[in-house]
Amino acid sequence: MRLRTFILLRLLLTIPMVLLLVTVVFVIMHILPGDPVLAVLGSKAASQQQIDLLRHQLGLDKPLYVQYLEYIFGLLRGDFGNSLVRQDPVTTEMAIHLPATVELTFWSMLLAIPLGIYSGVFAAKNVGGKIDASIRIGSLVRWCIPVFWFGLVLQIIVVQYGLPLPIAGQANPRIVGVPEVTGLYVVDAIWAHDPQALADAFLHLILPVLTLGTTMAASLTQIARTNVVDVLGEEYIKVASLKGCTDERVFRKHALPNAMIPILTYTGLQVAVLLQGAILTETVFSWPGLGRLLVDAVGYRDFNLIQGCVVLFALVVSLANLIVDISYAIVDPRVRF
Amino acid sequence: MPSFIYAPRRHLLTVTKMKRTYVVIAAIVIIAIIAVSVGYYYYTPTTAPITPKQYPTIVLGTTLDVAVNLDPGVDYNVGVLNLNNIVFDPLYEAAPGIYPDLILKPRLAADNPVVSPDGLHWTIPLRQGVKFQDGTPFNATAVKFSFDRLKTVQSYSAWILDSVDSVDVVDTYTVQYNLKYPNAALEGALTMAVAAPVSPSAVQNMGVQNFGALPVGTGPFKYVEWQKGDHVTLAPFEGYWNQSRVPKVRLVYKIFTDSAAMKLALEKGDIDIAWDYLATTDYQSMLTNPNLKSAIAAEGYIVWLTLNDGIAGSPLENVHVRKAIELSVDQKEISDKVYHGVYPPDEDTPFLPGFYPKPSWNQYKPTDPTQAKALLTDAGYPNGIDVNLYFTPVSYGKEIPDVAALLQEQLAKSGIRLKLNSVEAATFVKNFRAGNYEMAIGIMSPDYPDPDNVASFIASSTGSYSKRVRLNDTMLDQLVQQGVSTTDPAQRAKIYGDLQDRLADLAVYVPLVHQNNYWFYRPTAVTGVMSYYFQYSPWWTLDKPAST
Repeated sequence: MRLRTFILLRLLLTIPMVLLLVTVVFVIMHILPGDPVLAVLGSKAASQQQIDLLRHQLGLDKPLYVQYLEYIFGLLRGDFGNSLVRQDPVTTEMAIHLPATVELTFWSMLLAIPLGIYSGVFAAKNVGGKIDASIRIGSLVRWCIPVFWFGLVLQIIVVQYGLPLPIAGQANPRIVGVPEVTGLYVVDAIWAHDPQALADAFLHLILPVLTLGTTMAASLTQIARTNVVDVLGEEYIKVASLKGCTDERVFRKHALPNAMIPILTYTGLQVAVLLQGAILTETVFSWPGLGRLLVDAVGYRDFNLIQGCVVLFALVVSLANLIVDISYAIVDPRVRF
Repeated sequence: MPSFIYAPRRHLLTVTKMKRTYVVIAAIVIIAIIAVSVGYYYYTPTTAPITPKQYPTIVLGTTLDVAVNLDPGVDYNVGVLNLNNIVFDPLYEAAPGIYPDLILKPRLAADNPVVSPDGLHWTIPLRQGVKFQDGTPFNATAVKFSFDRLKTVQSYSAWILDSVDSVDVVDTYTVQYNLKYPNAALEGALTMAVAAPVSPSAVQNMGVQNFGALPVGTGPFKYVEWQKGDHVTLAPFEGYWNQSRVPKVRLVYKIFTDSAAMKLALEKGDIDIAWDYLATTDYQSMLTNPNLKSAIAAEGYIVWLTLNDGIAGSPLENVHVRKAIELSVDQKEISDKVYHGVYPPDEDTPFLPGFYPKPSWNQYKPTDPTQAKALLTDAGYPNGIDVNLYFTPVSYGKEIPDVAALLQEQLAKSGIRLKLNSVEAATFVKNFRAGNYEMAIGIMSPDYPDPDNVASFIASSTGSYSKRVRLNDTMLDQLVQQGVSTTDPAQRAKIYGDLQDRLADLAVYVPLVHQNNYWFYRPTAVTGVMSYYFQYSPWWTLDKPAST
């Protein structure tokens, strides 16, 4: 199979996957109790007449299969429908919140990947020693701490010790707005030649990125360590040592490259974990990203918005997996397409 | 797979792999740094330089996000109602500190309304020389336009003007509201931003969707920016007609998703004011914090117990049983143990001060399990009863499950065995509204300053609260009708007094606590934080302290 065919096939496979996912979400959302109409109107004021009117306007009075088919056909045309609560297109809502999540996850990965892999490798190098034990325990403990709790503790520490770090939000509202070009605050601040805004954007990133990044780094550490330790026990490592290689050379040239392959896979799979963590991180840090949009949408039972977010998340995860599979071919010569 | 395919390559890889990793990382970092520097030094911004900050900024933190948009006719969320009360001018307003007397005074109207003898035509003179924030002159045509818009736009809050059939322009500065039925509560309803005039030219130029993003009114503040999910920025409207209310600060309405983080942000100084229904444990630590002050709006919400008298076969059909439950509830204990005294016990009538509360309302007698037991025996339940209590754990406050547990304990003393049912919010609201719960914990809050706003909801058989307890009482219906069609205050006081007596006899609502509204702020950063009425605050009073 040629690489191009493989990519094409994988992309085609995402279509049934997304359809299946949308169907599951659709069914779950409609089985679960709750009514977007009541969520919009509030529990007090609305008369039955108003409720019926809004339900009709939103098309929620149609039979379920009609709603489902309309949604699916809309999706095939690239139309995610309108948000039931906000009333504007789901794609608009997602486009508004996407940059914040991209920014958060990008910097988190930038922290997590080097930190996780390096500390894992470092632990493996000192396998059985004190350093190994402390890295293992440390990363295990970090991995076990829930994201929202870790975030809250960081916030409390910052407040207690009066550290000059913002504890919530994406930017200081006291700084008069930098014109929005990309929606990525760091990029926009550079674009606008505004060093103050740039510093502010980075400061706001510190706590959320620490929270999300270390979560991912902790699991990467574990995986990296295990794999390097495994590889170090292989026969070819002994052979390399016996033929006179220095320990350092064995480690760098023989052990690490082979250990990297599963680590790479795992890193790709972590994208899903990262998005899941982003939902919690965004809630704790009032970060106006997609995760929060999804949480709000669930609160309002905004079916279209929920489905839109889920589809987007699914596409991101499958894209990440595709990239991992392709990079396999580059890193591991045994893999051939 | 033949070995020659991978063997040589593998050798190559092992030699270069690690190097390559480092090279890639280094390359990314270097490229990033170069890109940033090049971008920073060679890109000329096309946007005009940002104007210097003219006004100091006050940051108000809240967990009340914008639910739909900022359109006063569309979003009925408490947070947006509050914002729109300063961006728009309703025709009338309640005098700050309306309690104990309810006094309405003209805001955008020039004088009190003149009501025709049949009560169906309200003539209202309008203030002259007022402009909308976009420069459009304010006049009778704008009032008519705004009313017509409210009726055509997808407005869920238009119910507050249900009684109005049409609005006529009498002359440039006089309008006439034509009613479907006499409605003494209309003046109160006209205090809401929902009913406030919107700029006709802004609506026409922007279209409904864009108008909802940054609507234009005549109020002291104008909307500058709405960063969805993050903040709303408001700036003073310098051309505001009432010079004494032109704001002195920029106001940022900063949205938090987590009230614990908001509390920390206030303590730290990231925000100046915090406004939310926090957990009462948080209130306590904030009330005792020497660096913080608070403004309280009493009578925000009432947390109450609803006793359904219309479910066939339920012991609660019997009024003696409902009274027995009432006698078993100890509001003081709930206030002390669950709400740490932050929310005071409510043994009063659901009619707030200013709403003609009946002073002799003595329905909620001191807690008396013995008498409650006697009532139960009279009702034919000598061995006590089993009742289902429904509640939803988050929406009405984090303490509700504890209230339920304490009620279970209190009522057990009289032989009333409660089965607690914690229900997810959406399901709860649906069933609660349908009147499916024999006993539930709910909240009640008024929308606008008029007793009818309470009476028609909780006493009339068509009221959305009445339906929750399946209340259907001819006498109450008549009294609600009389109250809303009478304008004389003395007569209304009498009617609403009788109505409260009747409600007391029926014993379907048992108030538990007053859920007061708190604004916490740092006095070193902001002054002029005060409560207005209900959950409203006059934000135009905000200022920076003189020393800063």
